Parts: sequence; C-alpha cells; structure tokens
Amino acid sequence: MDGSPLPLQFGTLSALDLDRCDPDVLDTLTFGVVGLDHAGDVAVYNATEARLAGLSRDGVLGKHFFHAVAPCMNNYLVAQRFDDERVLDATIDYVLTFRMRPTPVKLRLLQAPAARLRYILIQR
Amino acid sequence: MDLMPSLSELQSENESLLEFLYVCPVGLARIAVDGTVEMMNPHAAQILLPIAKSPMIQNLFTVLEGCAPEIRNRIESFAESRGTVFEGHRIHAGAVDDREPVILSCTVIKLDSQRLMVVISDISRQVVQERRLRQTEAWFSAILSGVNDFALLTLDANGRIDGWNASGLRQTGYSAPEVLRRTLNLFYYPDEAIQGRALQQVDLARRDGWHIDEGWRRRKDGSRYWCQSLVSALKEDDGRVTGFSVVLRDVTERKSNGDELRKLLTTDHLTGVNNRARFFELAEAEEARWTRYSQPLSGLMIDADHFKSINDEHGHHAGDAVLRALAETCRGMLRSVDVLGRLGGEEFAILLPTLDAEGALLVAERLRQEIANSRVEVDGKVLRYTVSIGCATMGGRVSNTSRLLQAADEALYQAKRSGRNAVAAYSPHRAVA
Repeated sequence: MDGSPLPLQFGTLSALDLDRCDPDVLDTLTFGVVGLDHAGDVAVYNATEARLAGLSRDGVLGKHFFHAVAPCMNNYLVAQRFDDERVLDATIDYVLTFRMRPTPVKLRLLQAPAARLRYILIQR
Repeated sequence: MDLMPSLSELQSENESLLEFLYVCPVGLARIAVDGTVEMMNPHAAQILLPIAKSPMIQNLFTVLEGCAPEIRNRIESFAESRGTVFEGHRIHAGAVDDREPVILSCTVIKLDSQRLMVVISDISRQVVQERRLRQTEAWFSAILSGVNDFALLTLDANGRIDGWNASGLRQTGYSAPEVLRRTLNLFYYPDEAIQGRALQQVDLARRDGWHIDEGWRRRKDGSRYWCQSLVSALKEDDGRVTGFSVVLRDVTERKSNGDELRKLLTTDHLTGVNNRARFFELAEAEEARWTRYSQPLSGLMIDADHFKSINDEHGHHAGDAVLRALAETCRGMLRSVDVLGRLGGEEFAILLPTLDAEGALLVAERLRQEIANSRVEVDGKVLRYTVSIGCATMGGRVSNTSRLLQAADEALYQAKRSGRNAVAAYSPHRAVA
C-alpha cells in the first residue's frame, strides 16, 4: 500500500484517501479541500481553498464550518446531507460567492463510517 | 507617526471583512442597471438558488422574472440617478419543491446611473405570523370598535329586507317603511357598473354560508360612504336558507388611509390586475370554499405567444403594452367573482369559481378568440398577438389550487405544443403518475 501513489483526482478521491493524505500534498491540489470533524469544526483547509475564499487557514481551523465560515452551505443541499446520509459520495453543481463573486462550482461531498473526517471538495 | 497600515495589516483586515460578509445573515448584492449581478454575498445566493432553479445566478432580473417581474419595471422606470427605488418590497416566490411558500423582502437603492445595491431577506415566517395577527386584530376591532357604526338588518329568503332598526336609520338615513321589501341594491349607486352585485353577494352567501364585500354605498341624502358588508345565511337544519342577517359598517375613514397602501401591495405594477401575492391569497380563499361547499372550481393559465420576439422586435415598451392589453381584455370578459392575476412575465392565471371543466373551456375559448381578433397600438404601429391557454378543474388528484395551477400549466404546454393560439384542457391520463 505504502508505495502506491494515491489517486489525487477530484472525482475519485475517497474520504479514506483524504484521511491518509499528507497536508502538504493536499496543498498542491488544484481544487479546494475542506475536512470537518464530527462536531462540524474545520480540521483540514487546504491552500487552494484558503486562497480562493480569501480566508487564512489559521483563521478558519477549529471554527464551525456551516455556522461560522460558510453558512451558504448550511442547507438541505449540503449540510443536511452530511446529517442524513452516513455513507455519502455525491457531486453537485453549486454557486459559491468567493470574495462576493458568484462562482459556479462542483462540490463533492464525502462521508464514510470508517473515515476520521468528512470532506467537501470544491472545484471551480 | 505612520498612519498607513502595513500590507499584512491590510491583508488581515481584508480577511475579516470577507469573513464578515460570508456570515452576514442578510442577502446583499450589487447589480448593474440591466440586472447583471456584480457582487453578491453567500446569503443572497442561498436565497436566490431555489428560485433560480439553476446555480447560474448571473442576472437578478432573469432570476426574478418568474415571480417578481415588477422589479425590472420599477428599476427601469426609476428616473432619478440615485436614491431608494423601493424599500421592503415583498416578493412571493411561491412554494419550491413542496416546501413552505417563500416570501422575500427586497430593498433596492440606486447608487448612480450604473449601479444598484440590493438587500434581500427571507421573511416567510414573519409574514405568516403577521397574517395571523392581522386576522385576530380584525376580529377584535370588529367586536370592540364603536358599535355606532354598525347597521344590523335581516333579509328574507329572497334577499328582501324584512328587519330594520335604529342602527340602519342612523347609518343610511332611511326609515323602516322606506326599506322594507326592498333589496340591498337600494344602497348601491344605480349607475354603477357592478349593479347586481348586491344580489350577487346574497347569492354567494347562500352558496358559501357567508360573504364579505366592501365598496362605496349611498345614503338617503345622496352622500356616499365606504361600507364593509357581511351577509350570512340563516339555515334550517335541513340546509334550507330561510333568510340572511346583514352587518353594514361605515369605514370611510379607515379606507382613505389604507387605500393607497393596499393598492400598492395587491396589484401588479404594470397591468393593474392582482399581483402574484394577492392572487395566491385569493386562491387560498377559493380553495377553502371549494373544500367546504364542493362547488366546481376551475383554473386557467394564459401565456402570450412568442412574447420574447415581440420584445425583441418592438422593444420592452411594446411587450408591456401587449401585457396591459391582455390584462384589460381578460378583465372585460370575466365575472366579478373570477380571480385574475399576473403570476410573472407574460403569464396570467384565472380562477373560475362555480365553473366546471366544460364551462372553463368555453371561457378560455372566448378569451382566446377575443384576443386573436384584437389589436394593440404602440407608437403608431398596430400589433397583433395571440395567447395559449391551459384549463384545469379541481377534482381527483387535483386537490388544491397549487395543483390546479400546475395542471393548467401542463395543459398550457399542450396548447403551446399544438401550435399556439390554442386552448387545451388538462387530462389526468396524460400526466405521469
């Protein structure tokens, strides 16, 4: 297992892959990665996401994501699904307002019982 | 002393400003005069997403065209180069995906000739609460406010006055011998286009159990007053109507205060017919009547054909004229109990109480013909236009007015597919279960 490279694609990464990923490696990805612990607090926030959202990683880590960072995802399309579906791997079209510019994105929502964190991948 | 903040100070300040806007629980947007969204905070996107039905929110006018076409009209007709275009304007976005109907409050401020600031928030819950409060208040004020302005009388089974007392004399100036055996028409203006409305009110009360109406009425000395009338049917156990009791209230003062506001809140800015909000309010009342008295209830959806090309070829100005003409033609052909509303864009809806599927089809066909034969004059040019109409009637799966309109809408698409300038009736067999 150790020698095999992880599939670092937006469409194929799993929650378990992401759990195992080195933070430095996450920072090299071209899409945003947000990892939330079971309280909903931000545990992983990669460099791409920080740059595009205009927020620093240090400011975001530990904050409740849906309440204090991205309330625009606190709805039935995103936050609700993490609550409702124990196993979740869904890709949805969405609009985020990065720095107040409405931007169409693809969101991939990942949750698995065996994974430490749940993840939101954001591709512009 | 160096007053200029350092780059890192600016950066962290920028970050906290961004965060401030990200979590702001009110929708904020800046748009261009053509509706293009230039900046928008997440809450605004979240509010607009279910209405836009697509995540591509690029133009506010396009997003709101379906439920609040007046926004474009009001912004475009705002002549000044800056100032408040409107404040706290209510947008009835309707029910999306079987959720509770959404009502938004929208404020638009013009910054300069190019840009507008939009503030938008979801006030659905407050509105429900407000309405409940208003109803309670109306009841209390009806019970508590000066008994002096009530006139109480009774009618026999044929609608003729058979009971009259001092309260009636005080309000209208007529004594008992002058009114007994007469109908409520006595208090209406003889030249009024809605002659017969007094009798209709009695008929509606016979049908529904009660009816409330208001309008100008005439005293014996010729002076007029704004009167609210409540007619309720007196029924025997077997359901036979043996007479009516009537309450007349002089609310002239209240009317003059509330009139302007009421008109603003309930009519469509462009065509003067019921706006979306008012239409759905009235639909609710019709639905309640249908549930209670099981009289037929039908609905029509009307859509101007090729409306986009009218706009494209002759300009918005011509499009607006067509919509006004369409509304005017409908208004002229409908009964006073029918409910006409502009739901958005070029789409109108009509509720036809007491009409079954056959009756509704007849009305729709008459409307279609009348419109096809009509002309609209715009800037010296004469335009012709046509409409497609979908009809549906309550019953079976169509068990509430929102389904009724949905069914009529399906029929409307049928009419459009069949080549436009056509009428189609909803058929439940065609629909996918």
